[in-house]
Amino acid sequence: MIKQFTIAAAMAAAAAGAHASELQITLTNATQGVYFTPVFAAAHNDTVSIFQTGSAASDALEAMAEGGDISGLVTAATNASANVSDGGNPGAPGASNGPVGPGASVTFNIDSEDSNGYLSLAAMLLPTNDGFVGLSNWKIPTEAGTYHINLNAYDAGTEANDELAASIPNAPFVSSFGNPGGNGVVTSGGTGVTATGDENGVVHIHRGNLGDLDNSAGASDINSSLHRWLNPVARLTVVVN
Amino acid sequence: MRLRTLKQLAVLPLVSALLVACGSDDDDDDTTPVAQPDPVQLQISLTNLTAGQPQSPAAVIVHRAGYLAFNEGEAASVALEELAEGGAAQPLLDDATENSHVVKTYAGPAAVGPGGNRTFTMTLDGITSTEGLYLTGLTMLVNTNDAFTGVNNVSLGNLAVGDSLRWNGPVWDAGTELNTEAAGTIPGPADGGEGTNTERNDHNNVVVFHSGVITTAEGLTTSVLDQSHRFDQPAVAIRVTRVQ
Repeated sequence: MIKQFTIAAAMAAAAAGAHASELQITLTNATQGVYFTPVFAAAHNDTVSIFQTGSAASDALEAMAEGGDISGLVTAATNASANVSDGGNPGAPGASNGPVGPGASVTFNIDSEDSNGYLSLAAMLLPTNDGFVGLSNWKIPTEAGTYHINLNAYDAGTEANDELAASIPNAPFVSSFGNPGGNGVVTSGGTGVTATGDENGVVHIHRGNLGDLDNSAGASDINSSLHRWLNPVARLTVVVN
Repeated sequence: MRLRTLKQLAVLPLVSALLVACGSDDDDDDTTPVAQPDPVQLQISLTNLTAGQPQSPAAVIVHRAGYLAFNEGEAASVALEELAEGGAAQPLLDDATENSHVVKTYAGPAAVGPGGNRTFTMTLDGITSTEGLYLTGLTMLVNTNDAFTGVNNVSLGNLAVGDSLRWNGPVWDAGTELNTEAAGTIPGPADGGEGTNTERNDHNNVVVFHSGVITTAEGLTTSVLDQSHRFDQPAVAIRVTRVQ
């Protein structure tokens, strides 16, 4: 299978390092009951991308989308001379912030160089098999100001959406979530919404969780009253200074 | 120094031309001096894009930077709660009227059914350019607990006469009422239940994008909604044309 053209695959000579803009970015999780794992974000040049719809995910994107591990994306971005988020810790590019609970926000900074005129972002959605909130190659405006973008949920296309607890990272912050009426956690006993082999193979718009209301049986271990969404799933506010 | 994108230009106070009594003209309609430019007139249309969600009488607000009806991730105002839970536009319009950044408000006269459309005209007295103006227009999906759609703080830019802008409105969840879909909790015709309830019992008490309704068709046996009440984004199309 042809892998997409990824950050890891592309190298651009580091430009002179001319300072272009300081970006202050706020990501708001605008879902009712879905978590974002730690957030990858970077400014980079136009020869690279973290994902492209209709193309297969890179290994680094797969690791983020299935397990919430952004280290591969950070490494690839760094190798491509990208400017990576500081995770809200000024002067510490490469850090990350998150998880981001439903309705919550995180703010971070990217000190981007002239040669890195595009912004990308990704974080896994929990609970999902391989869903993520994403932004790919958004052109950073050259005019200072405040910009708002709605972000959609994508499916990495690397894992079938069986919606079973055994297939989904069991992050403590999800299972400890409010748990209203006993419905807040990923349950068990489901028979699986889809079968292995139904992963689709390319990055695409996520169809959403199906879920069900049976905590010990049914097809899904995900709760249909809490863990569903309709796109968009996030609001991004970018302040270009 | 670079220009800011969100220009916070104060409206240039138009010199209010004093009406000069003119003995040769006693026509009451002719109160505008000839030299005064015509005020901006906007034709606004809202089209309900849903299959089974009538939309409550809309609250439409033309404003400048500095007014914001709500923000994702922040708690809804009481006025927004009343619109989202009960379809009442007036509290939000009353709040807006008290805000110095608001230029003009419009109260939709009636609900708009699925597939229906409401078109109306707003005249912005004393204003001759749309530069620096923003539009907020909100309406409840009445067969839900607290879903609403519309546009939130979108820029009108600098419209010439004849220019149009169009937006597709997402659906938000006010976060003020749990989406039980239960009998007695939904004001629309699917239930005829309660409108606004001041209790805030949703998961997070902040405005988020709506996750849709489950309905009996997907196993929520206590829902009064059926498959016909499901919806997706977007739920409303809003078009603005500057007609003068």
